[in-house]
Amino acid sequence: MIETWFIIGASSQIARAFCKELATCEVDLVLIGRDTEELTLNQQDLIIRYGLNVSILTADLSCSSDTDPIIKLLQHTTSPVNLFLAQSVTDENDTLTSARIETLIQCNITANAKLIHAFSNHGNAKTLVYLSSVAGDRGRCKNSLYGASKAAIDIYMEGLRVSHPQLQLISLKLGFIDTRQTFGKPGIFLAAKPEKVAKKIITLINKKRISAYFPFFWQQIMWVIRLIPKKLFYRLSI
Amino acid sequence: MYSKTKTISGYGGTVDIDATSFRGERHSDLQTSQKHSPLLARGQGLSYGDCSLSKQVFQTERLNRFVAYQKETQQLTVESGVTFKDTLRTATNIMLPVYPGTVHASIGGGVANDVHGKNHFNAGSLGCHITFIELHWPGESITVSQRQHPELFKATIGGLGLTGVIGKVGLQLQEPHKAVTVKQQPLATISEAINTLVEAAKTHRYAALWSDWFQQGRSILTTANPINAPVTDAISTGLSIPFKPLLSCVRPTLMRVFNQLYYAHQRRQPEIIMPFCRFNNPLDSIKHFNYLYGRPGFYQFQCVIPLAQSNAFADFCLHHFKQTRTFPNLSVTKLLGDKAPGILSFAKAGVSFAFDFNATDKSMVEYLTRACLDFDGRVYLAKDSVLDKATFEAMYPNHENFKAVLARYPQTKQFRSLLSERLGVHHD
Repeated sequence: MIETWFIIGASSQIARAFCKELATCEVDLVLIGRDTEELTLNQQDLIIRYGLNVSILTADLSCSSDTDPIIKLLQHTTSPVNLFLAQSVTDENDTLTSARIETLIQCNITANAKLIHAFSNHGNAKTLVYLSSVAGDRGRCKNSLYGASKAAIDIYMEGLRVSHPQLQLISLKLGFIDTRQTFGKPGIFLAAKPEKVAKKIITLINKKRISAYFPFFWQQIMWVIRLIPKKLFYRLSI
Repeated sequence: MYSKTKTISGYGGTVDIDATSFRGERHSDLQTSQKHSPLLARGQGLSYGDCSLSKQVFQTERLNRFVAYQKETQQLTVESGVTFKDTLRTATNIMLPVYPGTVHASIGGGVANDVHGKNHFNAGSLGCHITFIELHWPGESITVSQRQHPELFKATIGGLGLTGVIGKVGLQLQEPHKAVTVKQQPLATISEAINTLVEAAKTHRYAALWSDWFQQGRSILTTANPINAPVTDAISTGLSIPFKPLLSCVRPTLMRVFNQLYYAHQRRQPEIIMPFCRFNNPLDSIKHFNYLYGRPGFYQFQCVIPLAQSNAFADFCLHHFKQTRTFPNLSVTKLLGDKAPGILSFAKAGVSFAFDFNATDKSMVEYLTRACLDFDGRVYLAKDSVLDKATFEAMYPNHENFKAVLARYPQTKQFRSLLSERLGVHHD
């Protein structure tokens, strides 16, 4: 039976690259994102390039009511379902306001948790891919709220792996990736191409793995950072 | 929108500039980038000289989506960053009427240089198959076609990106054929080769000459016709030049031997069926082929000479090569027709000669550039980096018309390249 992939945050380069990787398998795609124009362009591209069956749904996950239509669609899908979560608000601590904090928590935690909850209770759920971040391993002074939101979902998924062992719940902790957020930004080094992230996810799915760092060297970097004692860590501006 | 400052160069690697580059990832970025002036859109950066270089460039490589396809009318709309290679690999089995020497080039770049293929004598240049172009200027976008703003449409085809940033391109497709039957014919002299090329063009869809100028211009005429046969896609062999060495690996002695071996090998080839790409783009099978020329880079000189003068020009070149003991490493000769709709399009009826020279042979390229004017010829701006303003104006008599169109659209003021500044061809 043809599987359906729900791609949340489908306008991102990583989601685009992942859809292209999926094109070699027999899958139906539902592209979900904020920008209808971008979604339509990506939909047409996948149809013309790969002859896939692609539908779109415009939804802004930072708006609380927009998650429900996605959950309804997910629940009404009878074919095996898979979920790819690539959307997030990446605000840094300096730029936070009350409204932005609400938006960040709504998009990064509430919406993701609702979607994951609905997915895990779907009778025909298969694989979930969550794009986490190395920022979730330790509270950086620059973006600790963003990091905390990533860590929250990671911990939630950790518990689900125990209660739902039949599901493959993948959390990929990303370091720097060459996207519109990082292109030319000061302090970015060795940014990986989105196409490589997509290939890595496919490898994780095929090898039945549940978590990884990407690029690989972030595992070592974060291992060292996690080992730094609190007293010393608070004096560093990492 | 963040930007990155980096050194960019043309495919030949002889000209470079430290440029601030912006990268488009969403269609709306085409507008966001317009805040910056001067600006030039840049696709894959595969034009040889300086026509894709500017102080600020807008990279289109990620604006590479197929936008619409109508099977009944065979019309395709793409974003400008889609490459020619992409069009050969779709599930919908489509094919453009024109493919340039490399399929890695972007279609936006193809439009801006009005590229041609080995079938120009019957298909014309890419510009002949464009139905519309979506252009982006500061604060607005405009669609140009033969009906809407026809003068600007003609200026944009072959307009070197100086009329605005190309967002989308509409194309008329042809019946797809992924395979061709290829025949090779050895010919002893360049004159004989040109005459046979002209005759062969009457009965073949594709035709081109490979010539060995170390040996009196003896040539191999390759002709091809489309065929419906199952072939496997073979754009790349997986071979890649991993880095640019300090010095060029392409040495005259080596190339003399290579050309002899190539001639000996090709002359014995029987008629075979092969994928279209392997016939049309043999050098694409090696990734970063230009790295073989090392850090100094190389020049490709390409000009078109009217048919009546072509033999005289070939003899002139041969004589000059012998006299200076400087021979082109590789050479391709094609027959061009008169179909090229752009105001600054390169193609005109005649014979096109392309020579690859090492960077150390710059004086030879400069000499040939000046000399081809005496034969009523003109050089291809996509390959050029040595032309001066006066010679350009003599070669391209329509340049005033082009500037007049730019003058009518003041929104084009901010689009500049190193080439446009060298040749004074931008909006004043």
